[in-house]
Amino acid sequence: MRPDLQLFVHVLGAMGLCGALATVALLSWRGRRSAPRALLASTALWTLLLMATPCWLALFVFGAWTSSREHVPSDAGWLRIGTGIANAGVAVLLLATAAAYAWSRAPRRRSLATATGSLAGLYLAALAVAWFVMTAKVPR
Amino acid sequence: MSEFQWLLALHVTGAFLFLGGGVMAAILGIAARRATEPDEVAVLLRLSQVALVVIASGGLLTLVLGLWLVHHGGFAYGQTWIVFSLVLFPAALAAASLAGRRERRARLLAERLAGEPDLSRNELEERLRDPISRALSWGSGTAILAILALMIWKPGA
Repeated sequence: MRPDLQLFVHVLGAMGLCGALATVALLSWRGRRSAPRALLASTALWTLLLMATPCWLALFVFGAWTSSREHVPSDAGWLRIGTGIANAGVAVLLLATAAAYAWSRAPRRRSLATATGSLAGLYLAALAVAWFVMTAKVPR
Repeated sequence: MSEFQWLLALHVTGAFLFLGGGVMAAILGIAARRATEPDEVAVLLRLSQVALVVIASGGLLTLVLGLWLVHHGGFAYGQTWIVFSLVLFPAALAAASLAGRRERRARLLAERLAGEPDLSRNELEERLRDPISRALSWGSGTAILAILALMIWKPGA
């Protein structure tokens, strides 16, 4: 596979993941306010399962493949930050999915909507840091 | 950080907003088509307006900083990847805008139906399954993906 194609899938995965997390944060914010909470909760859950998780996998697998094929030094600061955020992200993604599942089972519990939205928003903010440092390639 | 690094990082930030907004609009649109009640459709289509704002602001940021980067980086405007991107970009935005207008009409109808439960929902279902709206959304998404591919492969650079 051409290195460009690996990078393309990596970037596409990152952008899809950001879009999915922003959607979950938006649905959770709206779900805290009023009905239809059950629909918003199930949409958030399915977005995490069907969009965010495959995108995270694409980001992780093709990112690692790209860095190994292009022989990027593993001690490069920007790569360490990006990889660290991707690695930590899997835990945040699992927690957000668990919170969304619990919210879909009890749509009236606002705290679960808050938890789902906060976790999605937190990971989205971390990803923004990752795309910034990985694009500018700082620190070297 | 150099000026080029700042420009590139902010240009990519715009691209993340542009494509991420497209993903948001797609997810909310699919969810609205699967919703059964008009009030649910109305809520989801109202949320997708946020996605349209994200797409527009990301698109503007991407375009302005992209042109700045071409100038700053000393690239020629006639290079294949730049020409195709500049053609596809307004096409993607126009298709997204037209799809957004058709979706707005569906949202207004859903809001009206939510307040008057006796009215028939057939028209709303037709608007949600409108093939032109779907073709515009898919066309816009495909153009955005093509721009991303051009940015990475840079044919003719």
